[in-house]
Parts: sequence; structure tokens; C-alpha cells
Amino acid sequence: MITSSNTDRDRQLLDRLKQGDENALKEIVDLYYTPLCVYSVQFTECEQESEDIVQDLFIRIWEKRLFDNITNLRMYLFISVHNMSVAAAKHHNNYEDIEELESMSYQSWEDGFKEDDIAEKRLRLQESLKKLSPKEYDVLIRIIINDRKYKEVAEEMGVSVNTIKMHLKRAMKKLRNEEMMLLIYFF
Amino acid sequence: MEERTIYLFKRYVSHELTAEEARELKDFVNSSDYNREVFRNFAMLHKTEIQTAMANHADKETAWHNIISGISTRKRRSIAMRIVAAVVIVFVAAAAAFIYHDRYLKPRTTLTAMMQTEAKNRAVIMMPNGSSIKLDGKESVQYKDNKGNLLCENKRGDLIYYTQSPEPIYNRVTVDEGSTYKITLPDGTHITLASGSELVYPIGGEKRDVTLKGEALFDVTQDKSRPFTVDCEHDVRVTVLGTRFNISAYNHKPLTVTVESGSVDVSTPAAKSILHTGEQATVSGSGQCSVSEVNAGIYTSWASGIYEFDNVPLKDIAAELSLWYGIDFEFASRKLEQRKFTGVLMRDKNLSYSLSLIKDVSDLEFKTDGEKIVIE
Repeated sequence: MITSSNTDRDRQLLDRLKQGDENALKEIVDLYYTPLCVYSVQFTECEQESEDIVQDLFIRIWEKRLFDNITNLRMYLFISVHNMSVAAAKHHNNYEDIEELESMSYQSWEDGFKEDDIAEKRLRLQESLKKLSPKEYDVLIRIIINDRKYKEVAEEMGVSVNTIKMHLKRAMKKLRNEEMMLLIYFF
Repeated sequence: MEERTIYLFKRYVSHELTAEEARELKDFVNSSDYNREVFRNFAMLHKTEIQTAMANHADKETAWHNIISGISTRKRRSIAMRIVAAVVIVFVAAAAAFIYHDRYLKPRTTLTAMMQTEAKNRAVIMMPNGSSIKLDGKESVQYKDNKGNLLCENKRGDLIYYTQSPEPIYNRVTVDEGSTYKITLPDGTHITLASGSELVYPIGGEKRDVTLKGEALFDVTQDKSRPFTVDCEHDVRVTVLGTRFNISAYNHKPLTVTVESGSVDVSTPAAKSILHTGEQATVSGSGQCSVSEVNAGIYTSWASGIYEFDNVPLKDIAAELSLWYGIDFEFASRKLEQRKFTGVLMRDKNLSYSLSLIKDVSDLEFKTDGEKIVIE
């Protein structure tokens, strides 16, 4: 689990940046690029936009020597990306009404956002939704999240449209899961 | 009912909800704990799917290439950018004039006007002969003596003294609420004064003795033969040789001295202690000194226009913001004062932006009541 603490590694990287060491910037990009993009995309819901935000931040840090004023690298990166992503998201989040709904699904920057963490989170999420059969899960993702048509999904899965609708209804019911609540609070 | 829910969830995911549908979805979610859980799980699932795809697609190598080429193209673009920046400044100035005008017309400050408040660089210097000079961070002014020698220069919020007179002449500078100001003494010592602070300092003579009310970050030039002393209220004196440290000496909170590098000597009528890098002394009302180890950066970052806070009560954050923007805060309840936050605020952003960052991560509301902001 990654924490907000200022690690020795981060401090060393900052010191090297202050001395103008471009390799330190490369190491920071290697370390933080993916976690920052993954964190950002939950707000923007657009991969390209999130990648632009993160790349832009690194460019600004280097050009404006912003690192001279930073003491906690991790905190600075995540909070900057948070602010820029939320600002970007405001453009396409149409209504204030659902802002509160949106916030129900956000993860704090203090959680891990590495590839491994995300894969693990996904597994745990699926597992906690184990009351969903693989088919129900599949249908739920394809129809709602990937926004596909009933007919297309039915053809792909080799079943009738009515079967798809049935799976989907059951999946929706099972989305309420006691274990899931625990996961949200302790993740 | 499920058909409709599925439809609403789909539209939610694709950002296609109409205003009416958004309200309908909100009502659905709020109508029962059951529905809330269904939606929450669904939303988590949705975000996790997006994040998984992002994790799979993020390409560090391409990103690095873009960053490096971004850095070099920006250099080339910088002249064009300067022209754009100049145009933007004209617009901002026009907007500022408008806001000022708006304020002038209405005796009660409106929320919008208040929210536009920006941190500034304004101060007043009192000369020994009683005359005063108003400093505005925007202008650049040079002060010369009768023979045309450059005495000091005011450059965008930075007052630099060049020549040292043989006579001990003391100037006093008072920084406006909501401003910070930098002073460079003839010996090269840099002092950044926080909002509302006052400093009396010599621009001549042998002694390096200053008097502080409020808060300042000192970066003292080393000179072993001439110790640098800072006197604060209640006979607290800090003596240094050459170092970087912060003193916070406000009436409303205990005096603290934080050393970022080097060492200083703190003496009060009741105690004497030596502080080293990364140490902080807190002086009680009776003059007792307690020393602890701290992350000094958090106490000195304000001087660079960045306020970092790690698990700090909202009360202290509000105190900092009132210094920046010259606005008072009031809490609807005692409990709110103790709510803790971690984050970074930038001094060059306006109040509305700073508050929106806090709003984004909490359920707090900021309302205006006359000249102050009520936190609920």
C-alpha cells in the first residue's frame, strides 16, 4: 500500500531535480506516469485527456522549475493532477445534480494506482460481486459500461435478446452486496 | 423499474443524461439505501473498468518522448506565448477594473467580488523622518540619492537595498493584509514577510538587528563578525549566524521558530535553547521553549506562494487563507474547526479556486455573511 509519506526515494529524486538532473525527471515519469493517469481517468473518463494532463504537468514542473518549491513530491503530483482533472471533467459533466453521485465512486489519491493495484482491485471487486455469474457480469459490462446494443451482444454470445435482458436484470439486483460495502470502506 | 434504471445507468456512463434524467437518477439513488448501494457498486465497477483500460494503455516511453519534445517546442514557442500572455494580462486587468468598479458601487461586498480576491504584494515603508512610501508589487521603482547612486529598488514585490549607509538608519515596513513582500538587505539577507506583518530593519550601521511582528522567512547571509538578531514580542530573541529559518509571531497563536537549515539560538526571559536543521521551537506565554522535530518545508513553503498542509485542522487552514486574502472566516460549529485536511494551495490562485478545492473533497459549504465567509 502506498501512503502519503514523503519517502527517501522521493526526496532524493527532488534533490537531483533541483540540481538540474534530467535523468531524475525520467525516473519520476517511470515511477508515477501510470499511477497518475489511472488516478486522473476516474475524473476525466478520457484516456487521452488524462495522458495530456499528466504529460503537461511534467513539462511544467521541468520548465518552470516548480520542483524548487515542492517538499512532498507524491502529494504534489497527485494533488496537481486531481485539480487539473476535476477542472477538465467539469466541461463534460453536464449537471451539478450528479456531481454528488460521481463522488461516490472516486478513490483517494492515497490509494495505490499502480497497474498491479488496479488489477488487484478489479479482481477483488469481481470477487465481491461473485454472486454474479460470469455471464451476468459479462452482460453487465458489455451492455451498460461498454454501451453496446442488446442485439449485438446477443449475437456475440450466441443467445437471444430476452436471455440477455434476463441476465442483466439479475445482475442489477445482485449489485447490492453486503461484502461490497466493506470493501468500499476498507479498500 | 429495472428497464428504466438500466437506461439511466447507460446514459450516466455515456454522459448523455438530460437535466431531467439526471434529477431522476439522483432521486432513484437517494430513495433507499438499497438503491444507493446498487448505484455505488455499479459506479465503482464502471470506474474500475476505465482505470484498468488506462493502466493497460498508458505508455511511459511514448509519454517520455512527448514530455521531452514538449519541453523543447515550448522553448521555441515562448515568444509567441509572451505575446499571448500580454494580451491575457490586458484582459485580466480589465476584469479586475470591472470588479473594483462593482465593489465600489455596492457597499456590501458581493460573493462574486469576494471570490475574485487575489493574494497581492502590497506594503508601506515608514522612513525615519516620518514619511512613508506605498509599495505596489506591480511597479518597478528605483530610489537614488542626491548624487544619483542607486539606494534601493522595488521590483514586483521585492524590495532590494544596495548601498549601506555608515549611519544606523532604521526603516519600518508593514505588509498589507492579503499580501506578502520580499526584502533584500544590503548584506544580501533575504526576508519574506507574510501578510499583515511588520518588520523594523537597519539599512546601515554595524548591527544586524531587526524587530518582527507577524511571520517571516529569513535567509540570512553568513557573517560571523556580525550576528543577526530578530526581536519579537515578549522579549523573545533569535540570534543567528547564517541560516534559513521561519518565525511565526502572531498574537493569536504561540510563537514558533522553525529552522530549515543551519542553527539558531532562541532566548526568552525564561529559557534559552539552540535549534538545528529540521527543529522547531514553540514558545509559550510564560516564555518556556519546547523543541520538536518537524518537516520544516511545511512551515516555510508559504513564502514561495505554496501552502502545504498535512492533516491540519480546518481552523488553521482558514487562518492561513484569511491572511492571504484578507477575509475572515466563521465556523457554524466547533466540530468543523477540527476537521482535518491534507493538500496544497497556491497563493497565486483566487479565493474561489482555493475554496473549491476544499469543497471538492468535503461536504462543506462556504457562504458569505457580509464581509466574512461562513463555513457550514
